[in-house]
Amino acid sequence: MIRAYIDFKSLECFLAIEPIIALAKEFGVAIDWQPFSSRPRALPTQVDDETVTQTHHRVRAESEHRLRLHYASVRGYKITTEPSTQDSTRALMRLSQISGDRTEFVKQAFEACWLQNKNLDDTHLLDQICITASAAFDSSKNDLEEIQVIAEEAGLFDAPTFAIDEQLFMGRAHIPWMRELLQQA
Amino acid sequence: MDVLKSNSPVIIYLDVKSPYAFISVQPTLALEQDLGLSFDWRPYTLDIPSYLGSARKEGGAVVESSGRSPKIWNAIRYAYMDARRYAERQGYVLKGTEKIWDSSLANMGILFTNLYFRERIPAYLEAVYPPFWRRELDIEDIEVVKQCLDWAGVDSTEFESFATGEGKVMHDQILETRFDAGMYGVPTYVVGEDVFFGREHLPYIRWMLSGKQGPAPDIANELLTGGAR
Repeated sequence: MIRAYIDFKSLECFLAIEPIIALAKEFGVAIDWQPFSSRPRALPTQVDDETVTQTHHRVRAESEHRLRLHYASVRGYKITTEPSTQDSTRALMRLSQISGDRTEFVKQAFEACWLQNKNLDDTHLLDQICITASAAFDSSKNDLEEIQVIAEEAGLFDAPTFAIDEQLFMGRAHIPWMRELLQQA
Repeated sequence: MDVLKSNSPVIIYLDVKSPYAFISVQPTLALEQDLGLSFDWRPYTLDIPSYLGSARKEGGAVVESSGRSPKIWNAIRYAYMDARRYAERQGYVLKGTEKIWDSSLANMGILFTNLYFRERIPAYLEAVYPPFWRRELDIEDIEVVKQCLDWAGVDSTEFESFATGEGKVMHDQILETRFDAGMYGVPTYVVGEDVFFGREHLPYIRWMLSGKQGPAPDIANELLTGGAR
């Protein structure tokens, strides 16, 4: 099994789900999708009296954003530079409430966010996605914060992070190693 | 020196004290050899405290820490664990460092070798990176860096004057202009107008330099096995 910690507001996560689903399919293993609230992705604005630390973080954020758009373009995706979903808490909560296979919900929610530029901070939209994804959920379940705390205690700091046999892999670049683990299993 | 311009098809920026730069060396050398090209190897000395805070360890335990949140500590622990497992696949040992080193001299050794003894680059990188990450090298000692150069077959006679003159000017110029060039870490690869951070872009760079045959590859950390070194 692959455990996948994801956040819908993260373009890096969106770019990871297709290859991870393909990897799981290749080896006939399930994906246990888990919510993880990642750090905000808004691009910092350059200010006049910027410190070295601020400049570093700004240049890093700009570079990461540019490269994500580059690889999205390589896949043929047209990604909006100003996504409507800024707060993914409601969607992550819904993910945690779904019983059974969550893959179809994950795919449709990401597509709504990144290809259709819909705002996932909308209960009605999430209900609609659950219907089309045939995802049953329990709206009384409220363990999102606990999942986040447990994940951070296990060493997570960002999404997407994948776990196979207790080994953590931050990002889809590790798929060759993950494939090897699945081959050995 | 224009940090984004070179006669080579690829510029790679490295820092000896970066674990991710360490594990990028062999895949990058492999790409260079596979393509029959000569890359432009340059130093970029990281200012780690400015973006990751600082810490000092003694006997494996942190005795001083400044500006590091629990999430930053998770990220740092993960980075070392991740780099260590890939290093081990390459047949290397990677131990966590006890302090944040001033790697500028060892990095100027990369520049010196690249400029005047280009064919010795693989040997110099092998002379400095693995022993530093086994905690066997004091890279702040110029005599140690000269020994690494000599071990790699580089005549180190002129290195000291290089490190206080031309080499230091070039080294510092890279640092002064790095942000304007869109660089913030290592390894950074410059291919034409494109700047890529991280070895996970090597499959794409290989595709670019091979005539862009077939579909463009996604990012991936290539698996290398080096056996016992």
